[in-house]
Amino acid sequence: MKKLLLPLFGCLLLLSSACTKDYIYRYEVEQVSATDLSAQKGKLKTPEQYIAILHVNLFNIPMSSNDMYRLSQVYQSIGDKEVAQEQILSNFMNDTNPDSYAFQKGYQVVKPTDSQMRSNLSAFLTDTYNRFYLRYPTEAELEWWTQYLNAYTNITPEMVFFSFAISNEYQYY
Amino acid sequence: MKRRQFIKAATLAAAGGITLPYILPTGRLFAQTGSQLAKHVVLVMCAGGIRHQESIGQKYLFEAQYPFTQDPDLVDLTGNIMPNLFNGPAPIDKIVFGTGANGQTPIAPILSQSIQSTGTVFEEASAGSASHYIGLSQMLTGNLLAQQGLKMKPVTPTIFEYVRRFMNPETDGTATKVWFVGNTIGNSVPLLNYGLEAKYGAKFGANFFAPTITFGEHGRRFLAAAKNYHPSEDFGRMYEMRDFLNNSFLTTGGVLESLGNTPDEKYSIKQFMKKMYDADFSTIMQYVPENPGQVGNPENIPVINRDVSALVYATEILDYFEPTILALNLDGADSCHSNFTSYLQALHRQDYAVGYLWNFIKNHPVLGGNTIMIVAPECGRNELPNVLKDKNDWYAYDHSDWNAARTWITLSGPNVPQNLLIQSPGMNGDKPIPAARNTQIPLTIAEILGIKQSVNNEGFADNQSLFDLMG
Repeated sequence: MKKLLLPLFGCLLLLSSACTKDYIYRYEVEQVSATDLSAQKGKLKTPEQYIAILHVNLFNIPMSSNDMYRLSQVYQSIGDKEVAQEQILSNFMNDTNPDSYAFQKGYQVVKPTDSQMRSNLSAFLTDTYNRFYLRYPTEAELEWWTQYLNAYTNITPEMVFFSFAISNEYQYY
Repeated sequence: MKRRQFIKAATLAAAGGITLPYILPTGRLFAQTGSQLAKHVVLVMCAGGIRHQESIGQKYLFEAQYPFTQDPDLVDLTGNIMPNLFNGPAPIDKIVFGTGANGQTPIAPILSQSIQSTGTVFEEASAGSASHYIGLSQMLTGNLLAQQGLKMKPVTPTIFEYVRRFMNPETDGTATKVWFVGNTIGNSVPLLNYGLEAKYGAKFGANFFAPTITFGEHGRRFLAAAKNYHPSEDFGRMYEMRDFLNNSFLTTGGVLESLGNTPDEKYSIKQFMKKMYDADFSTIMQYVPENPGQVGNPENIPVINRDVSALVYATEILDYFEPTILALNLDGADSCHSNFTSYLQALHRQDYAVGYLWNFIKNHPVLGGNTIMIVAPECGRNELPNVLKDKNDWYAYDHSDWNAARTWITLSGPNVPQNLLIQSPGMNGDKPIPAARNTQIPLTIAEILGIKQSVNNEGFADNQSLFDLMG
């Protein structure tokens, strides 16, 4: 009996340690939204970054590197950067003027009509915050904007875009 | 109101207007510390490095070329190629600095009397540096800037910041009364409109244009077709919305440095830009005597170069904004690194540009009789040439040795002694001792505008004014 138990114990030991189950590990990327509720941005855009991002935000098309180089030179040639940005925007927005850069390139500012904006202010504002700030508006921001746009019916989507593009938060990333 | 009461009230109001202190942006009460010698100052910085010998020294080709080329035609070939600035006869041979084919036709002087005759000239001055950006920085800050880097803003305040800080922020010291005009955006020139000193900075900075770019081909392409938003109905609302966005960002983000142009001033700048874009280039340059018959001729050397172009736009700024201070940077002479002939042409055009400017100022209804103009090179050029030769087989000059620190300074306008030439007090070995320093320019401007004591008290700038040296 003792002679039988020892080999049996040995076999059991072998069986228990020889074959273990092979686990398959799968690594996945956690889903994170690119937009954020936070307004925390700490790095100032360079003139080239500002121009390039503005161009994409307004026209949905990247600016050519030649045009970007030239426009950044013009930007540097004006001391008051607020004036420089407002002048660039005033030209980009003038996309129906045959003399404008946008018209000559065949670009149009991608924007809703006034009635489209006012038919769903919340959606328009959320889109605008995502587009220019890469974040969602807070409840307080949505509330202020809704009241403001309802109070002033002559404000157009273009004017809203303009105010975002000259704001401090838009200068940072 | 009875006549006696009216006179009494008017006298009191006038006295109050003269001496009434005002609150500065810094929050302190201020009354100007000195009487003004003039209401406006224009500073022309002849950048690019100008050799003493060919400018005020009037040595033309004799000193610069004869010792190295041994061309017998150049023996004793001296003469004045800057007739609007200095007295003296022009060279009589080898004329290459003018217009037309090979530059053989000098540009007629625009001033009937030279700046030297009608003002004060420091014949021998010194630049604290032989390099471009530092040279300009020293002229604007009055400081030798030993710790200054090349691609950073001046480490001490500029004269622009002093003017905006110490003059009435509602009138003479407001943003659109302080201008810096560069003929380029190269060599870090746009960085010079304000410095890094904590108490000063952007909020006291100068407005800046580089007209050859702002109003040149690219500026027109990207900026000329600006939409004409209404200043209050459109921009008023857009600024309200922007202010809300900025307030939201204040809690987590930063605040951009701003020159502090008010909305009205920004609108005024945009209207000025529109005026420049609406007028074509030839209209802006209509008073520059180009010969139309020469246009298109590849041999023709025109009057209008980058310096003349920038200066004519500067006169438009002077006319439109009537600034308290305008500083202008010219740099055409730097072609001397590789082309001596082109350098001579640039000197002649810088002289023409200065003459054009002074003629404009003298005849302006507001600026005339109330503006002092200061002209000085940012630095000189070397004593000895480099190895490069131009098409005339003339040697080029860099700027790095003792001779590159030699400059001169001219002043003209009200309360400036006329026909006064202040020469070197002597020699140090074979080198002339300077009678003035470029770093004395900012305090000179401060003295003209009545803020000398305030600027001196700050302790950043050279504590001598050029007026202190006039005896």
